[in-house]
Amino acid sequence: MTAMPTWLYRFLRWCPGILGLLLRQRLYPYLLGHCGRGVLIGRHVDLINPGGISLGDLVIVNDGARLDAGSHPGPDTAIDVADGAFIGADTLLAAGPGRLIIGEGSNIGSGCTISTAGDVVLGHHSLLAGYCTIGDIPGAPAATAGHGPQTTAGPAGKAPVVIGPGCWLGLRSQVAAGVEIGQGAIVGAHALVTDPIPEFAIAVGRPATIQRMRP
Amino acid sequence: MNKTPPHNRPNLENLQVSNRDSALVRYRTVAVGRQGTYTALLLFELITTCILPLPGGLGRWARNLLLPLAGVSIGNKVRIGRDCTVRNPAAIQIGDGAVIEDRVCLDVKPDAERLIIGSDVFLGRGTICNCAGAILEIGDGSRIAASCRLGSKLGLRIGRNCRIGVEACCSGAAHAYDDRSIPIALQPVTCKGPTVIGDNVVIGDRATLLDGVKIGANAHIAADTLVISDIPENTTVAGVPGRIRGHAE
Repeated sequence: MTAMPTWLYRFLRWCPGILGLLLRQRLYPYLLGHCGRGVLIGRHVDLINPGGISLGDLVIVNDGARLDAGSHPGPDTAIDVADGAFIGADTLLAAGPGRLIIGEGSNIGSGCTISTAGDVVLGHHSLLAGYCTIGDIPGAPAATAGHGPQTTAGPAGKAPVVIGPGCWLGLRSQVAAGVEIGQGAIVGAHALVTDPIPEFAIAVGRPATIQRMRP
Repeated sequence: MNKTPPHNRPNLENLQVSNRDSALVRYRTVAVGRQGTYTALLLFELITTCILPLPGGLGRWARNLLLPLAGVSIGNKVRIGRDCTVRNPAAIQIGDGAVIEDRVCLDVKPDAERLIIGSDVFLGRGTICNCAGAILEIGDGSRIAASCRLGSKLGLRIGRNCRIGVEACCSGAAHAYDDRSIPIALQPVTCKGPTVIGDNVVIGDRATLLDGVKIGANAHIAADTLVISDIPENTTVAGVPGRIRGHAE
């Protein structure tokens, strides 16, 4: 448990304007597992089990985002956001039993949902447009966890989702659990990714098929 | 690349240049625009801290009274909910009888011109109007549901009496991906042109409009549709990508 009284956390979560930004920047490091310098956290940001969340330098968390470290046992942190990452408004980041690692300079748009039982690794400078979903997708063909012999099973026996460095996931794209996306790949808007995508491919459609390769 | 795209995202060089300004100057630019003064910033802070989060009828009354001081031009009988975010208030214009629900974000970037909300417009809870460039205009009588994202680098115009569903999104920007050696996040932002939505258009829940599409008057766009090209008048569009499925009367 943390040392911060609930009323103070509620006040900080609510506090508007530049005052709120400054207070959160100064006081949230006491709450979080690790917090770099120059972090900007918006209003109404929910932190669940904040001891399991690590934010790097110059991370921006926009209004209404929700970071859920779940009941990760530790000692490492469940949600690890590297330097310079941006997390959009109303985005949900939920680490189940596995870990959620967001690479340096990543940009996660607004309204995204990242939540799986296994690990999720986003490479550096990955770009997620708005309303992306990574993880267990309701209504989609059931993601067969750990079906490949080469996939390493996470703590809960689920295959990890690995998004390579410099990827671009289009608006409202959905990535099922256990999928690997290679470096620099592009996933089109509204695409549903259930199979691995190689490096520098452009994949569109539901389910996503490779349309062409990047120039 | 030999030609410079119309709008550049803050890449590393730009970021280093803008980082030479102090944090306060950058905050002032975001909050009250490039021409804003520290007096305007102080007033903006007072209103943001004390007035925007106020609940109930008192808050609504105080917002109608005090937001014009910050430069917002507000018509008669406007109702603005609590916990809204307003940036660069001098560039915002709200018509008579508009209803803006709780936690709406009216964000006019320093490079943008104006955000015009017509009369009798309804903006649902949590909708973000991100005016990143040119003019964002919502026509009279349009109703926009909750959690929408509206914005465009080169301007967005929504006609009169449109209906836009929950979580609908006008993306209004894309990225260049010519160079494999640079991550796409650091490559320039592109935009094919302004997004134009005609009068009486109905857009379903979770539909997406990519940058530069033009939607003719009276068109219907079904839920979960991805619109990648222009839509003629009086048509019904559905699917990913959206195809014309019928003609409305």
